[in-house]
Order: sequence, then C-alpha cells, then structure tokens
Amino acid sequence: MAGAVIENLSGRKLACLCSVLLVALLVCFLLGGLVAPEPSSSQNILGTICLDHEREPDRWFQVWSVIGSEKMCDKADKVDDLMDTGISSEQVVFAFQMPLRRGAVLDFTRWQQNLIGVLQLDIDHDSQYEMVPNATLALDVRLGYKNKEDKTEDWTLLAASVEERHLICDLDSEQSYRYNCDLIPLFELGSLHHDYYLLNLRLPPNMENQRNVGIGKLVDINLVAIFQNGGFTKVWVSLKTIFFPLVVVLLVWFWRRVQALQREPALIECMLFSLGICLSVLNLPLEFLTLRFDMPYMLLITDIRQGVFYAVLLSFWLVFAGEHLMVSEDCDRNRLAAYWKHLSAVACGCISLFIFDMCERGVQLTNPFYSIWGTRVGTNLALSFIIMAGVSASLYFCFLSWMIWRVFCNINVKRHSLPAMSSVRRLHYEGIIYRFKFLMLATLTCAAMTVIGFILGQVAEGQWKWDDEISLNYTSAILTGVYGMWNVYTMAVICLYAPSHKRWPTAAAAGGVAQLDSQSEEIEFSRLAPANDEPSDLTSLTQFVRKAATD
Amino acid sequence: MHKAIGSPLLMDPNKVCRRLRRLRGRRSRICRRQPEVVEEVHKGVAKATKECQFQFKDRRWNCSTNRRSLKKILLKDLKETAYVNAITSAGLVHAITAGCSRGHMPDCACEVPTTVRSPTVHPDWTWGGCSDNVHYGYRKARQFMEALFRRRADVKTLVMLHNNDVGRLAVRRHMRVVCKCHGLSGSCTLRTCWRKMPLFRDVGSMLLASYDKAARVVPANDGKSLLSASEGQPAPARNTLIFAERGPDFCLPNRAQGSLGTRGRRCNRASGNCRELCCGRGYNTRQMNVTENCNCRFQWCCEVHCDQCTVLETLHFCR
Repeated sequence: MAGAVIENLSGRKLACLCSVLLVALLVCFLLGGLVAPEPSSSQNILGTICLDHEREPDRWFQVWSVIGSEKMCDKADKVDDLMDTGISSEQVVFAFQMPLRRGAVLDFTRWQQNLIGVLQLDIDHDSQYEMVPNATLALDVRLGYKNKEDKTEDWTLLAASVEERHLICDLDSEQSYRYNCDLIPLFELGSLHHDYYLLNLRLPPNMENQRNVGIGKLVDINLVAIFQNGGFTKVWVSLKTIFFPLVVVLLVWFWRRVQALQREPALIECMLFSLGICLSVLNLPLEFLTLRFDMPYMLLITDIRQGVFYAVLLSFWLVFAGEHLMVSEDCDRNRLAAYWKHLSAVACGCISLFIFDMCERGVQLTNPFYSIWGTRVGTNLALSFIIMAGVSASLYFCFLSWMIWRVFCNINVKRHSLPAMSSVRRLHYEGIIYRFKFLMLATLTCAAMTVIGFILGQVAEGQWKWDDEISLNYTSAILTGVYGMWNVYTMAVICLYAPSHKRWPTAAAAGGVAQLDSQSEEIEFSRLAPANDEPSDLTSLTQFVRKAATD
Repeated sequence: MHKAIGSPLLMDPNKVCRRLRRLRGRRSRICRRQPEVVEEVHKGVAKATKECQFQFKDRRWNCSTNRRSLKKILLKDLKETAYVNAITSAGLVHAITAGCSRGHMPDCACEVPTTVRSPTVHPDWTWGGCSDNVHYGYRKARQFMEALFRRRADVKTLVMLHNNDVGRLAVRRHMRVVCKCHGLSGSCTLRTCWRKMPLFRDVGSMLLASYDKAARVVPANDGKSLLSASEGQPAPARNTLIFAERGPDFCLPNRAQGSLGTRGRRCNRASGNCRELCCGRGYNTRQMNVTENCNCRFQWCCEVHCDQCTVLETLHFCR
C-alpha cells in the first residue's frame, strides 16, 4: 500500500507548499483588511412620536413619504407636550422608518443581507415619576415594507406581534438625570429583501398584568438598525466562490486516490473526506440566491453550515490524535465507534447549540420579533443549553488534550529506541515524527490564531478611535483571515494526508513507507513486513510505530 | 461696532432667520432652503438656554435671558460669553443630530465626515454603510454659527470661533459607544458598535467645568492666532474655553457691564452658597407657604394625577 503524501514529501517541497498556503492566507487577510469595509453598519433612528387620533390599529404611521405623496403622520415634538391634552398612551405611536433618508437615494439593497433591530429607551429620572424595579414592557409592534417599484401606495405588513421584554435599568447616582437601560433586542430579519421598512411601536398600558406600568418618564426611543455591509458581502461571497471549486477539485482528487487503493478507505481518510464535504457546503455561495429570492432562513442556514463544519473539524482532531496513538494493542481503532465517548461530547455540545439556535432563529422565521430571552422560562432554557454546550466543550478539550499528551508520550518512548536502528532508517523515522508534530503544531497555531484574533478584535473595538486615520480594517481582516485559514488548513490536511502515488515494487505486500535510495532499507522493510502482514488499512505512520515496537 | 450676530441666538431664538437681508452667506442659504434645519436650531437654542440656566442657577451670573444684560455680555469676551457661545453651539449640534436621526431632514443621513479620510470609509452606502449623524449636526451647526465670521480675524472673532468649536466638540467627543453581538448563534464573533449622543446635561456640566478652568488669551503678534495670557503657558487646547476680557463680579447691578446683581436672588443656606451668592451682603429669611405637587401617580405617557401640598418653607433671599 502507499503512504500518505506528507511522509513522501521532501522538506523543500513541504516548505514550498507551506509558503504557498501562507501567501494564500495573507491574501485573505489583506482582502478583508484593505478591500472590504466593516462587516456591518448601523443606523441610529430616533422614534418620531405620531398621534393616532382616530384609534386605528391597522393604519401605518410614516415619518416621511418615500414614494408618491402619502400622508405623513401627525407628529408631536416631545412626550412632555402631550401632558394633559387628553391623548392616551394607546394613541401614541413611535414610528421608525428605515433607512434614514438622504434625498431619495438611500434604500436597502439585497447585498446587505440581514437586518437586526435593537431598542434603546431614554428614560428620564424624576423623583416624582420613579421607575418600578423589574418592570415589564409589552411592545405592540408592526413591521411593514415597501419597494421602489411598488404600485400600491401603502406599506405591506411583514410581521405584527405583541412582545414582552424586561426593562432593566439602573441609576449611576440619585442625582442622575437619566436611567441607564439595557439594550432591548427587538427583531431579526434573515433577509433584507425589500427597499424600505417601517416600524410602528405602541406601549399600551395594561393594569391587570402590570405591563407598561411603572416604566418611568420615557422620553425617547432609539431604534438601532444593524445590517451587513454590501461591500463585505461582496468580498465574502467572492472568497467563497474562489474557495468552493478549489476544495471540490481537491476533494475529487483525494477521493479518487483513496478509491484507487486496494483496501477499504481508512477512518482518517473518511474523516478527511467528510471534513472536505462540510467545508464545501460552507463554501457554497448560497448568498447569490438571496439577491433573487426572499430567503429569511439564511441566518439559520449559515449558522447550521458553520456549526456542522466546526463539529466535523473537532471530531477530526479527535480521530487524528486517536489514530496516531501508536499503541499496538489498539488494533480495533479505525472505527468511529471506538471514539463514541469523545464524540458524544462534540455531539452533545453541537446539538444543544443547535436546539438553542432553532429556538431563537428558528422561531424567528415565523415571528421576527421573537426572542427566547424575553421570558423567564426562555432565558433559563437558553442558559441551560448554553451551559450544556460549554460543559461539552470543556469535556471535549479535556479528552483532546489527554489524547495528544498520550501521543507525544508514545512518540518519546519510541524515540528512545531509535538509536538502536540503522542511521538512514532513524533519520527517516525522525522525519515522520517531526512531520507529525509539525501538523499538530499547525493545528494548534490555527486554533490559537483564531482565538487570539477574535480576542484582539474585541479589544481593538473596545478602544475605538474615531477621528484618526485607520488604514487596516481589523474586524473584517480577522473574519476573512480566519475563514481563509480554516480553508487553507483543511486543504493542506487533505493534500498531505492523501495516499501517496509513489509505490514500491513490492507495495502490494509490504508497508513501504518512504522513498529511500538505500536498497538495504528496502530490503529491511520487506523483511519486516510479514511481521504484521495483515491486509492493513491503517495509515503507514501507525504501521511504522508497530514496526518500531517490534524492533 | 461689531455686530454680535453669530450668537444672539440665545437672546431671541425666534428671530434666527429674521432680517434676511442683513444675513449673508451660508446662514441665509440655510434659512431659505432648509426650514427643517431652522426648526431644529430653534429646539437647540431652547435646549441650550434651559441647560445654561440649570448649570448657573447657583451662581452670581445666572444665565438670565434678560435682553439688556445678555446683549452686553455677548458683545464682550467674558468667560460668560464663552460659555453661552459654547452651549449654544453644543445645543445646535445636539438638536440637529437628533432631528437627523428622526428623519426630519431630507438630506442629512450618510454625511461623509470631513475629518476622516481613510480608504475604509467608503462614501458608498451600499458598499460600506454610513457614518454617524453627528457629522451632519457638527457641520450644519458650524455653518450656521460661523457664516459671517469666515474672513474676519480680530480677537473677538477668534475667541468666538474657538469657543463655538469647544461646544461642538463637547458633543462629538463624548459620544458613548454601545455594542451589540450578533455572531454565530448570537455570540460575539460578530459585533457592531455605534455611538450614542451624550446627555445634554452632561455636555452642560462638562462645559461648566471648562468654564471654571477657562484660560485668558491675548492676540499673538501676527494677529491671526491667540496666545495664553499667562507667560509660559502653551496656547489653549481645543477643549478649553477661552476669554479675553475680565468680567465684572456680577454682585451689583451695572447696566454698562450687563450685570443684574444678585439682590433678591434666592440662596440655599444648607448648601452654604448664600455667602458666595450674596457677595457677603447677607440675606433675608422669610417663612413662606409653598404649594407644590406631591404624591404623584404617573402613567406613561401623559397622565399625571398629583395632590397639591402646601409646605411651610424657610427661604433665604440676598440683600
């Protein structure tokens, strides 16, 4: 049988390959940093107070007319102006129109992908109108849309609901002028399919179940509309479009190689193949479809695609470490079942995250205003899922570190027996160990870079400098860099662990490991081979270890 | 005499755009073509006046909008003039930015900030979104306040331009950053931050602190720049209020100087400001029945039911 490519690759070729991949990585990073804009932008929209004199719950209250000359709502400047005018709370409508206008040129494009709405409440502190702790809001919301080419004058209803949210506010000091209130997530739209959006919000008080009661002197409501930047989507999608065919071609090449072997594919090769498939699914530029079709489930799909890829990547590391344990008695590895303990940690974590995601974003497909954090039960449920995921993650890392530690121990033990071998063979074995360690190191570097990148991203954002010149867009660079890195990593692993085409004359019978000049070396291998002359389906590295054990 | 036309906003906010013939340049253009901006300017001036009076309620000069007094003060280069100019500018930035965020102005969103010249801030909305609305507020407030002073370079103008800028920056530099995570499953792998305008109360307090530390300046030899009056001090920084003339102590009425005096002002003995406010002249104590609202039951938005309580209070008034 043939060995893996990595074992047959000369140091120089390996260096070449690595530098090519590093250059690709650098290009990804710079593409994000220099070409792409920030991943997302926001618009801060202050609610306009509209008055619903006729009490029409189905009317749209708009701040300015987008197209045509529809009626604008009857506005009030301040809530204070409404005191003792006979206007009741049910008649006060906060209207938010997105995006803000600049002539008629601003409208959402489908490149902007998604829209998230967050509320910020401005509540003045007045000792006469104190806030009740733990007040609950009932937000009566209606979201409508309109398109440039629409024939109808009025807005079309997208979603309407009455949502409950907790109002969590505190005061810096008793003399403070205003409460500090937590952000209130309002809605998430998975597709930004239309040009203009309008949100009407009412806060009708309900004495019976104490909704919107004791909310203090609410003076203004800010809606922050967050959307992905079109430029970022373009860069991101082009990155995907480039990677997708590359990975697919590589996968085809890899699988044909595996099929050409006379044995069943080894577990590690199956894992590699599924890793490649998941990466291709992740790379598939589905975003192009959103330009044509309304796909509110895109956020969910993106989450699932990413989740599946990371789950398979984590499982791959486990299997990779396990298959290199080099313990001779573990002959029955090479089956996924042997890893059920370890893999169940991954599965448990991923499934709990998946359920959480379904509960949040899945339900948002039917009601974009839904939030699992809105109710106490939901909050507890969400927290328990997240804690379960966290526990699984730590369990996983314990398993993985323990396995890697064992691998390194075994390698060290085997190393002690190396001096007894002939020099050429020793050099060769040391080379294999070195390359194995090299890959472990690459994995660790990638993981560490991902973590450090994201942490640095948070820090860099924390100390924003607004007026200074910023030449590198760090957040986008990290995102494209990390994305490119895992692509490059997977491609490298698929390349290096593909079965080598370099065959020994006696390859069918012997576990020829490497291309060596020395004829004696070949003989030595041939002689060694019958010692474990089973129809081997392990990678040659494991075979090497067994041989070393017989030495 | 120099017409103090850049700042009498506080004096008669409803006449911002009167006498259009006398107004030239940008302000008249705004007055004619952008009535929405003028509307926000009115709000900004009202806000500034209210804030100025709140901040100075316990001081000898109480930011009175008494025409005679204010006119005199605005014609000079006192510390008080500095504060009035700064808070008015800040009020304009605050109000215009808020109006822009409400969508009340047709042309304000997506202003390209003049101070940021980097390739990553792409002017194209589709490509890279928009900048903050405060840039528009800053620019419009500046145009409105400084339209007539572009080419002048006397001390008064320089001082005024500087203080206006201090006010505008007090708003723009103290925006609070707020962030929201929306990455994979709502995690913080993706985060968007935006800036929220500072509370106007905080802007007023910051400017008051700046007023207390205001630096006196003298014109430099070239006549185009200002130097710190005290030897060896560097030129005043961009965030300190400056003044050129020492003002009166506002203890006694003085028509020429615009001082109303503190006679009859109410002082607070508990906080110990009577001595300071009454300039050592002492105070009269009176027992008065004060009627005020109490036991208020408030239901948002607009219903308040209060009882009227009458309390016997001891009040102190300066002699």
